[in-house]
Amino acid sequence: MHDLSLADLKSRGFLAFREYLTNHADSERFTSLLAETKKLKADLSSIKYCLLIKGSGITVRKYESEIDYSADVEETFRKFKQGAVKDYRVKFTESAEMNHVEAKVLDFVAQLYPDIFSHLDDYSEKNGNYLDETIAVFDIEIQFYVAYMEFLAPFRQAGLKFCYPQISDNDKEVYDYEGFDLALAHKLIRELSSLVCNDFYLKGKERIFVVSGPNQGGKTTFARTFGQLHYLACLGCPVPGSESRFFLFDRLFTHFEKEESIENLRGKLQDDLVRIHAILNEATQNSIIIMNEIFTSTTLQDAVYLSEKVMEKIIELDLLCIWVSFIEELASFGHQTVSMVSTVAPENPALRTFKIIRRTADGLAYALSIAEKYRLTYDHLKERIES
Amino acid sequence: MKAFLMYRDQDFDLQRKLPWNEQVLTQDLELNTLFNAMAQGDKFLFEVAKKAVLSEVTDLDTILYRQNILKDCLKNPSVVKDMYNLAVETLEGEKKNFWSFYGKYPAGILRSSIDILQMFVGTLTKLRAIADEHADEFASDGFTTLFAMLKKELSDEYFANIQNHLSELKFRDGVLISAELGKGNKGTSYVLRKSHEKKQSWLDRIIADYILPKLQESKHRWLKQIIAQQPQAYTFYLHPRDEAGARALSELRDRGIHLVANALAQSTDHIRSFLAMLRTELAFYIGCLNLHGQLAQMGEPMSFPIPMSLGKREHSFRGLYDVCLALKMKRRIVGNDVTVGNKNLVIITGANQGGKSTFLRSIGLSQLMLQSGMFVPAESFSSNICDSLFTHYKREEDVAMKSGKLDEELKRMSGIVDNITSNSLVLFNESFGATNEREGSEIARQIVTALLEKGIKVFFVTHLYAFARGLHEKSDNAVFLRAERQADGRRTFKLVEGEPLQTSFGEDVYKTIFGTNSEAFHLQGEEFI
Repeated sequence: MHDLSLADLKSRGFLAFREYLTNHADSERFTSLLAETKKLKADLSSIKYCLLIKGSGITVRKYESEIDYSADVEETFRKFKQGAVKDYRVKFTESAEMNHVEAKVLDFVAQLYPDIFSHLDDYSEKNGNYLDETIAVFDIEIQFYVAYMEFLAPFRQAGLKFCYPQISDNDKEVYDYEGFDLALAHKLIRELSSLVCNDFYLKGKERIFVVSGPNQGGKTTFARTFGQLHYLACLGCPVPGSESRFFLFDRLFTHFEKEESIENLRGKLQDDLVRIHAILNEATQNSIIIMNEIFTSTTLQDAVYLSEKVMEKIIELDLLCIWVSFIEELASFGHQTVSMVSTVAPENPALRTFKIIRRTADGLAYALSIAEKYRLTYDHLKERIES
Repeated sequence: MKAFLMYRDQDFDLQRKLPWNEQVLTQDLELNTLFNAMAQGDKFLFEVAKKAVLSEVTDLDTILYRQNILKDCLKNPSVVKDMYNLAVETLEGEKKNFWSFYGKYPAGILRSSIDILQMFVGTLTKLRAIADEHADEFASDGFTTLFAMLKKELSDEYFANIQNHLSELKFRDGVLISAELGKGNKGTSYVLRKSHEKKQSWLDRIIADYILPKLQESKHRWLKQIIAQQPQAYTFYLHPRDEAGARALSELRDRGIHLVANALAQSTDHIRSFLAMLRTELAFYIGCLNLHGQLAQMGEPMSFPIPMSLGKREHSFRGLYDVCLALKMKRRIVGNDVTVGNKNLVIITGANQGGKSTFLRSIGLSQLMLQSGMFVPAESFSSNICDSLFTHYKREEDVAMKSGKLDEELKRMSGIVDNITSNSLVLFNESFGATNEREGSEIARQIVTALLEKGIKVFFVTHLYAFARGLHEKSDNAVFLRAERQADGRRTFKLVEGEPLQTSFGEDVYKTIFGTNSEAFHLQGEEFI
């Protein structure tokens, strides 16, 4: 409550909730309850008692400042300390309930401290059902926001950018600069590897990204990012990137390659077609489609033919789409398609950069050559060995 | 408490990572022969010798620290062996007697720990006695500190204090635990307490232990009331058939003692690891004593080397021999005298089977021995410390392989370059000879020139005449050694300074093998190892 009144709130939801809380906290019922609770809690936590367990007997009395014997023993043997050793402490299972021995002990403790416990009896009788419904609902709903912010915290700490995107429900111009895949980032940040950010934009009549380039170059990640960011943005979440704009879609369809399954009794190509047909049937002009390497189990000529058919449908529906494909013809299909290529470092074609850029598909990605295999010439060595 | 016999202020870590080229070094320098001589069939000694010799030390102080300890060991071998055996027996004894050590309950952990501690205390008492008796006979910093520490830390009062705890921890008067109220007023923060000293008479004890529990079972209400009447203390006894209650009670007790059980179990671990460290660190010196004994028996000279710091360049010795060859032949072998001084390159050429490989190996072995703090197989020896040692030897077994021998050699070389630093020492044995002489020479020249310019020290045994010749004409940073061959074709196995020659006298060897040389001589060197 105190924090909330200091916060610079703007959202309608929070402002209303703050007002509600302020009124509630000022009520007589709440303030007296708070004071009493504090007093009781302090009293209860001041209680300290001793158990003497011997054979089958247990004696309960007040604590009389006896010294911590574990610490005493530990101190005696401290000189032998040699660095980390195994922890022999036992994990006790903590249940919320009391067993009858604990209950019996508590009875005795109550007898040792009669004033505090009679106060506790009164208190519980009076305030048995005190919970405000609005606050209970808030407790549940706020968890989503808190969890998401906690999820983002390590990325922010690593210097990655997030922004609140613009959302439009009629304009299909979308963009995101310095975006990245949260799922991958989550993995990389634990391994402390660095992450490559990518930019994309569609403007005017552009609707469809066709992503090609070398394998392991980040194409699938890029496609996933496109869908993921749309999804998060439309939930109202901040998304990876320095500046972004997304389309408020009605449905988001994905078509990723599936293992051939004996159960559907169809060939892989047929399965691909059945799935894409279902998607195109259900898609409206406000949908988004993400496709990753379909039609790989047929000849190139077939794949080109089928892909072009599907592409015509997508354009006809005016869908937003990202399509990872090795078929270069798709990249230059029409003015709605934009070619994106995963790239390699020019000086060493074997090195992936994980950068996906807007560029004509040229099919030269795998041209790699290593001039001096082991880099053992005089010049190389002078460079390799640190002085 | 620390043994600190390998480093002034750190433990010798037996789990440490060895250099990446550990296997190559072991193979090229025949290190297992050395380790076996130090171990005398003992696996543990072998392991320690291997770790100590292969993980070279790069600071002067540690090397001298170990040299002095080793000198003490050579002076007092029986005391050192006694200490070592004491540590070994205790650790082995514990393994045998307590193999099922601990349980998952604090009570069990506590009981086992008390038993083991009793045994360890016995060993520590004996160690103290050794310190009392022999401390005066040792002069090194390492031993002086160890003995002083044993005397100071393990006083009689301290032993008495431990005994006191060990009997207290059997809890004859019950376990006293303090607690607070947690969530739902469930007991929490259980802490074991030491009760205020209170002498209990034998009568009180009998009443508490036997009479009161009996009364609890009785039906007489008034008797129960008597029990409860003690001021500010309430007692109850479990019914003998209340099994759930017994479990709950023993869990409460466990909550009370689990920290002390942990402390005690960890203390046994600490003492065990102190004894283990003592054993490990002494094991290195026991290995040195073993080696020393064997070499002394052959009449081979040994000396403590003079190490120079990392940045300096020095290499000079007299009577340096290949300790592994001597151990294999079980007799004295020829040593070499060379003064390299501050030069960075030594090129060794000359007769086949003239002792070049043996010489190269003696350079590697003596460097490793120096840097582990051992004596070296030489009459006198001095060299600078290097931070890594690399060997690049011709590999016979790869001749037939398709990948190509030069390819394989260069691949290995590249691996070395990945790890090399300017204070490294590289030993080449007939490297880059897998192609024709001109190309091989050119590769070798480029590599060696680059290494030298980076300040790296290189010993290179080679038949590549163009390479050796070229360096001889240009370099004043090099020493050229040649395997000696007398006019009649005999080898002396001694290296002398001399410029590279265009023949390696392979013809002589051919003649020997095919028996055209009437006076057959014993080959020594390469073929034996």
